[in-house]
Amino acid sequence: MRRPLPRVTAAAGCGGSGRELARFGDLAALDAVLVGPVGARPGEAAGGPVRTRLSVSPSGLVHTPAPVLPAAQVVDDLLPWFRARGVPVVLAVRGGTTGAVADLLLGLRRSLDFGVVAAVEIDLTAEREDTRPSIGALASTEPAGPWSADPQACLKLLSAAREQLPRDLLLTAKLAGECPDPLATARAAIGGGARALVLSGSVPTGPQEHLVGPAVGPVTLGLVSRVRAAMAAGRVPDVPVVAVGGVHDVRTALLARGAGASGVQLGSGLLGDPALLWEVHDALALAPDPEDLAPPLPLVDDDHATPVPTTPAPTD
Amino acid sequence: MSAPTLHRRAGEVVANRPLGAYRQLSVVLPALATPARPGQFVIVPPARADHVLPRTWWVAGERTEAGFGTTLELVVPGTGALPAPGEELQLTGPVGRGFGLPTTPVTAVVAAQGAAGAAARWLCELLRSVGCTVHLVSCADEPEQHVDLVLARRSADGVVLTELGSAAATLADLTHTLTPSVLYAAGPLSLSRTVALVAERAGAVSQVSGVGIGAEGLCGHGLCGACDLPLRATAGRGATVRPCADGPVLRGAVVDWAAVVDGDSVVAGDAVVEMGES
Repeated sequence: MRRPLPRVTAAAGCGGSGRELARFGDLAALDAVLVGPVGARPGEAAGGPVRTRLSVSPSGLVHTPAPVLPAAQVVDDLLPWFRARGVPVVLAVRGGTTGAVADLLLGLRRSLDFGVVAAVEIDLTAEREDTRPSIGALASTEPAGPWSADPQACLKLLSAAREQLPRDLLLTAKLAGECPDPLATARAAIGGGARALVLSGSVPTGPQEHLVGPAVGPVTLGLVSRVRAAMAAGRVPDVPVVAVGGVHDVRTALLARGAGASGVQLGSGLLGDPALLWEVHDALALAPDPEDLAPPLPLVDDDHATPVPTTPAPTD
Repeated sequence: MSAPTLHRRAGEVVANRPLGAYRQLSVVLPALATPARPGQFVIVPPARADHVLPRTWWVAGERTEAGFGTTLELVVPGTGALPAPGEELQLTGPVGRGFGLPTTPVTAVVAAQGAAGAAARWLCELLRSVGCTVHLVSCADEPEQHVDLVLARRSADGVVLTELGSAAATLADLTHTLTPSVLYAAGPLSLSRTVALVAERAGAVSQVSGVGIGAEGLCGHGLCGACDLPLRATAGRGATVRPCADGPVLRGAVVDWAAVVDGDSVVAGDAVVEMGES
């Protein structure tokens, strides 16, 4: 039995570790809380940046990637905390190589509190490290652009992640419009085992820098509409879609719902007003879910085993 | 989860007056459950629709009167649109962990820079009220940025004005002369680093603000991670502290200042090192 996709969570890196959100409202009222990005700290040995950097731009923010939460902290500290409160968790996982992600998931999976995890989100917008054999060493790694630029690598990554996780756990893939062919990447991610897509409208502005905020709302809506249209046309398998980027109030959340997104993630809107999480949750709970409407399942009456007409026959 | 949740409230601005290079707002709120402390701050929604991040302002004073409510004094940058007296102001707070007061009367040095000077002046008053001997070091390059000096001279035993470049030397001299038990720093991260290093050298305790309240590129809610600081005890494992959520006041000794990657200028952090080596 697959658990439903949460209607609203924080975007990875915009909700702290998830626990900070408890200061602003009742987490148990939400479908789930996103914890992440979880990963192995890449630049730790080299003294890399320990924190994200935000710079303000009109109607937006330019940010560097959020620092990852170490898996040890998630296992020792965060998962027990959420489990004690009965709050389901979405783990956002980020890694540079397939092996790094698989190792990470294996470590998380061994946690005694893994049962609280409702879904795992694999970040395909993260930088991929290319591993090549070299003379005199085992391998050399160098950045090779985001995962989403290479659908085949996405397929491998998702299937490696799928292998590490329980079969009934929802696996989602996050991809942004920056990849050359979002539809190919979406197909690959679903082929690898993702059962929901997180579509981000964040716009790359430089190396390791992205523009987010209300300014990118139309980009997100365009991407969601495009992917949903491809799903309707059968070019991409039909899975639920989550919109992230530019969703900064109830109105834009309903617009995203109208474009075909089952859920939304709040990023910079949450930084301005954390109470938005509960407002958007309540608003989306009342609005119809495209997943409930879209598949026209034939209703069958148990007693007579005949299709029941769902709509009245047109008169005249 | 028993703590009350933070939410935005409406306050009424009753005064908006200049304070050196800054402005001081007096805002009346429904009475606070717990008294505010110096070192706390408030989070205010952005001034304009095209701004995403909220503004963070130091709390420079609090007065609660039964049946009337709480009046908060806020120090704000003089730029941008500010509410006039009589208008409503939405704000969250006061939030954060303020400066702790010593339980016994000791000698204390308070260093301040910028708008935090008013919060430091409030801290001096409270330190005096518990019997401490207080010396205030105000660091600024512009005369207008030394705020609240008239009140500060009443509430502190000594007030020293210094430029940013010589802040470390001044603090080291003062520490050498007075041998204070505790040093406080209110202001940007560069000042906190200087004070933490001086205190460590002198064997004193330091309480520093771990985040430059009022700086751009901060959410103040503890969600964005732009204020994370590396912890010293776990240098190898990469644990961090988030001052917006866990502070803003931290003990200077817990932060691994050598690993702090900071965009703004380092106030003579190197000067401290040089002095120690000479």
